[in-house]
Amino acid sequence: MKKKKKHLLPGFGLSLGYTLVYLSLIVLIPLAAVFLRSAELGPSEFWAVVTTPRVLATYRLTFGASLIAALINLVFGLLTAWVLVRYQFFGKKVLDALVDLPFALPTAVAGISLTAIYAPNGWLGQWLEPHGIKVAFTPLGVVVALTFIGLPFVVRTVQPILEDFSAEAEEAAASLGANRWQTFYKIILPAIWPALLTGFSLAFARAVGEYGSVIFIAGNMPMVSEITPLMIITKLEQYDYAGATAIAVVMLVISFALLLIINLLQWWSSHRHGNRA
Amino acid sequence: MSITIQNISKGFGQFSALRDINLQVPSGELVALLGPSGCGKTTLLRIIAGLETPDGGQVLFDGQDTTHTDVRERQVGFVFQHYALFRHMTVFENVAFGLRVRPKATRPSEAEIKKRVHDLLSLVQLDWLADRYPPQLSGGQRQRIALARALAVEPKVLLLDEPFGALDAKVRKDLRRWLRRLHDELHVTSVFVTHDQEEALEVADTIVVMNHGQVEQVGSPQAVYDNPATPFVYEFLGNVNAFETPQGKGFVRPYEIAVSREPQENSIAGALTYVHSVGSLVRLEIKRADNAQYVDVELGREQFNQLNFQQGETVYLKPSQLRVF
Repeated sequence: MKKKKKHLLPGFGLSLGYTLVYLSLIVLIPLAAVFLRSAELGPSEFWAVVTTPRVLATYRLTFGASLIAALINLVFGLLTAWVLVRYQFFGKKVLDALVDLPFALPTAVAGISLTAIYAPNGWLGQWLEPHGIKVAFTPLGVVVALTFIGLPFVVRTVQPILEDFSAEAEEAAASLGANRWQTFYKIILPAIWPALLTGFSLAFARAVGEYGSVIFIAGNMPMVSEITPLMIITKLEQYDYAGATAIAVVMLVISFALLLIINLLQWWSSHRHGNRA
Repeated sequence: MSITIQNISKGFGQFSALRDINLQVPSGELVALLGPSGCGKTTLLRIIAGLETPDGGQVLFDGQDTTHTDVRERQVGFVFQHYALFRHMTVFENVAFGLRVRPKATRPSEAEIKKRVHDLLSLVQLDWLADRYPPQLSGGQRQRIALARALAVEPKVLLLDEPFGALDAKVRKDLRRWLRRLHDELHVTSVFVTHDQEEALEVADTIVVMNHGQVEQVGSPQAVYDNPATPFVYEFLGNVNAFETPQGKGFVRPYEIAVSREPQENSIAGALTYVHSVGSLVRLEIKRADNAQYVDVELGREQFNQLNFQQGETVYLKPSQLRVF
């Protein structure tokens, strides 16, 4: 007779089935279609499409700017979360709500307003221009837009962990003679590190896929300020579906590899810190 | 190192946590701050540690004013109720932390740190757990590691905030004795906070009974138990019966009452409503005939067996000792 493994929680088979079907419909099948469509090109043709200098330039900009934006958000997101958790001040609730705004705002609106502000005749642009700093219509503008849309991720992942962090551990460190910096980097940072990494990878993933806010501020000059998603749209508009999906496949593979690395890093750090129990 | 507390007061908003506290802790003693929750005992301990600043008054270590010395420089070991171990570090690293964060000039060498930590872990009898992480330990083990970590910096004063509060009864009893023995070995001036009178009576050299932000009585366990200075101390330390007397409220311990079947001069009649006979003492619950209040009486088992009281029987009570406030 077949031995049936008992699960303490009922409905495992049913809920797993639903999850698989759901994930297949929403994620796996569309992604598989991308791969199938790009397979219409032969291997050499595929390679030629995804390695033209113009396309290579977009990879550099998209992944480079996303990385920089995510790093900026890592630092300032942590700072924002810290301020929101640690201090009581007038208008804290408003500030807290403000953090979510980049989530809610249509990205095109964000793009248009950022462009308006940073354009050479804009509020901020007119002050930066004389110093030789051009933001709008340059790669720097791309970084600004990606930083904007990625802001909430680090704040919202780190905030609850910081809130749960016991003041006692900090007091214990202080009573043992640790100064503030030692307490932060030996006690607090290891505790919030997994959350920081999660926030970082979310902000990064979001930035890689961002389209709406970037195209307004980027200026979209080939080889200079063109992002990969725009490249894909351009190909689609030329009815080059196979070429568009080929670039999409490359993007997908790179993104997946990067997220995998971040996840491994997270797994490794949580193991090293013995959060097993 | 002796601790002197002079006119310390502290408030949180409207609430006044400590009011004009004066206290002297002689060098090398083990002192218990005992009181109900909210009496200010933990606040006082945190002020001694430097984790809290008083609104007024002074804290002196060996006569030196340390009121405004930062907790980092105060050289106190603090043990928290919920251990506050660093969960991402091994037991070894937890204990070594206080040595590793020292400035380069005074930091011991790696070999010295290793030796010191292993010595301390042996002292708390947990050397075999050096490579484990705190979440893998039991509550009693965690608290002993927390103590070893506090001792690693060679504190001049050891402060413990409800050190056994989060542990179950059996472990608590063992740890209590262990702490007492450890203190007898180390002789570091120690102050611990507790709301458990039994714990304070068993472990401490001196008990400081606190209530509503004030010190009610200071004395040896025997002194505060046998000669309570105030009604509060009487009621807080052990079971007690309160009687209304013409002179005021009178207190008598359950074992200071004689019970008999025959009325005597000035005795009180009552019905024996409940007999609780587990252990060496037999507890009787008697409902007074005159005002229907309950009185607790404790008898030795032998004595109870001789008298052989039955539930529901009418008995006569006579306090052998009555303290009136």
